[in-house]
Amino acid sequence: MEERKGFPMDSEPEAPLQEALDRIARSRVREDVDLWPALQARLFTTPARRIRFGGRRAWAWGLAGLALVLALAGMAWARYLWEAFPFIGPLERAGKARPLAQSQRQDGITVTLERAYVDANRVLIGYRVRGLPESADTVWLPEFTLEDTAGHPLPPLIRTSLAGASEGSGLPLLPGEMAGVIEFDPWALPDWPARLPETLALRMQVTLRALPTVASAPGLLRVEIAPEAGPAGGASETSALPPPALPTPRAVHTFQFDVTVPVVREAIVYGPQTATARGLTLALERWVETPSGTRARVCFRPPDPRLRWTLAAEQKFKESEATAEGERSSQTTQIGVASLIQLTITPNEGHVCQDLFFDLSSSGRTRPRPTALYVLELVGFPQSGTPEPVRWPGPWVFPLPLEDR
Amino acid sequence: MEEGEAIARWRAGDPEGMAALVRRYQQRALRIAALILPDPMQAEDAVQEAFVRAWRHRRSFRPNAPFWPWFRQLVVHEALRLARREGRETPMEADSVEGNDPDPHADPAEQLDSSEALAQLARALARLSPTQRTLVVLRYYEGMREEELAAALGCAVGTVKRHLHEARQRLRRWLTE
Repeated sequence: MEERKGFPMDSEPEAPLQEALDRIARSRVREDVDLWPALQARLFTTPARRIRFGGRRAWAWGLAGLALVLALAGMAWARYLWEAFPFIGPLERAGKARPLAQSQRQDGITVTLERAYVDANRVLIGYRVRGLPESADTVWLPEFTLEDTAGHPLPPLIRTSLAGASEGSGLPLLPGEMAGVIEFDPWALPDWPARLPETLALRMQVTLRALPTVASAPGLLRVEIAPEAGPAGGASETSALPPPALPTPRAVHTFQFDVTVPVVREAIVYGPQTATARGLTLALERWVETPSGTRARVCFRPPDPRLRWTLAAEQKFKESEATAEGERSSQTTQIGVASLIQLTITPNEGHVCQDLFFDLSSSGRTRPRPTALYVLELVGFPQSGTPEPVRWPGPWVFPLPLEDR
Repeated sequence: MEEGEAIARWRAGDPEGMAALVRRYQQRALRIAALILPDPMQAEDAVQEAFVRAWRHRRSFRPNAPFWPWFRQLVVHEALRLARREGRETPMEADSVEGNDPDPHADPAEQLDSSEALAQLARALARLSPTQRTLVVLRYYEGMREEELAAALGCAVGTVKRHLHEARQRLRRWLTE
């Protein structure tokens, strides 16, 4: 059968149909949707829990969920909420996260710090915001700063948040509410983690900005994509994205909290050691195992200082059943999570330091004992242009003596 | 972060690389899934699942290969799986289009500018079987060739041609009803 020219399903022309399909697709997909927080929760925490943001039906589910949970469970729902988050969830289940319940209220908006956890490797703060005015053309953007009482800033590492209601997670968050967990870096503090105090006194500032939504400010999405600031004091390599130009906020609310949190001082710390492969020496400056996971800092003089360097590493176990995603297997390695956020340069010596995170998904559980850290390769990326990464293979092997524990 | 760097970091197990790829491709993937699965929530589920599979199977990704075609395959697979779970495939014979050609003088292309015409097209798409809908989306929205479609869906080129032909006939008829 011969098809009539001009019909949109003909092989030519296809543009009208393609445009029509595009309009249908765009009408079904919110421009501000961001799957990453939910994926982050699924991929880097155990058990995997699907979290979905917003959504039309989510409102009704959230309302019903809140009514039910408030009626039945009292404080239990708060624990349930925090167990759902990555990083703090395993600590919540293990009873190691400390309830805070510090609230402040301004113009009908209440900010509550509900959970805190501090150990040698990280500071975690769980917050909740209620009473945000809902508007179709406004989005609320929270910002957080944390410092100790001497004014030393703790840089943020990872931020995970939920906004509005979420039937996907079954969490009782209403429209106008948001909750999240911010991870801060205590390694920026002097003498940390060499001398861990009993408690850590902190000042946290929460700033809520009401900004125009994407429809009226096309650049707004980038605000959420931009990484957190790098560690203070070092020339950070984290600024892969330039600071986005914020639209003028329609409202700004600032809350300041002073909290003192007990420090979980359980930690196995190994001091510095070096390893050389193919003429390049790497230094394992610090290896710290805590209930929230293991963190290591590896430093080296980059083979080519014009490139941005990162590394791939894994820890080896004597009797391992762990994998990178927290699943049991017969493998004897666990791949480290190397964070670009942590990539810093010490200008005086020209060294690059990279922090590695292990065991984030198995916090609070009995973990196998690592016997060695293997740095498999260094990878250097050009600063601009089409990157053809340069690979510098290892391995560099750092033994971790079990008998010292 | 440039795509090449993001891919290298993702393959090395770096969440930053994964995050960059998610934010680069999630909108495009969601739009394809939303055309195959009319329920936006299901589309999000499909894309989220595709990203999870991409993370778990990142080692099988060929270095220096383009990411999008590889990932699109995962998205289509998940969307098609959900679509088939929701509704049975419509047997081709049950809705034969032979001899049912609509008014040959009507031109739905001219009507696609109106929102009613768009709604009509959306309804017509939803009436297609999941496989036919997927083929239409990939052929006319993504611009994939029939050979690529055959490879993507694991069938013969002739099968693709037959499905597309029947899908076009059905859409043409439904759009002029």
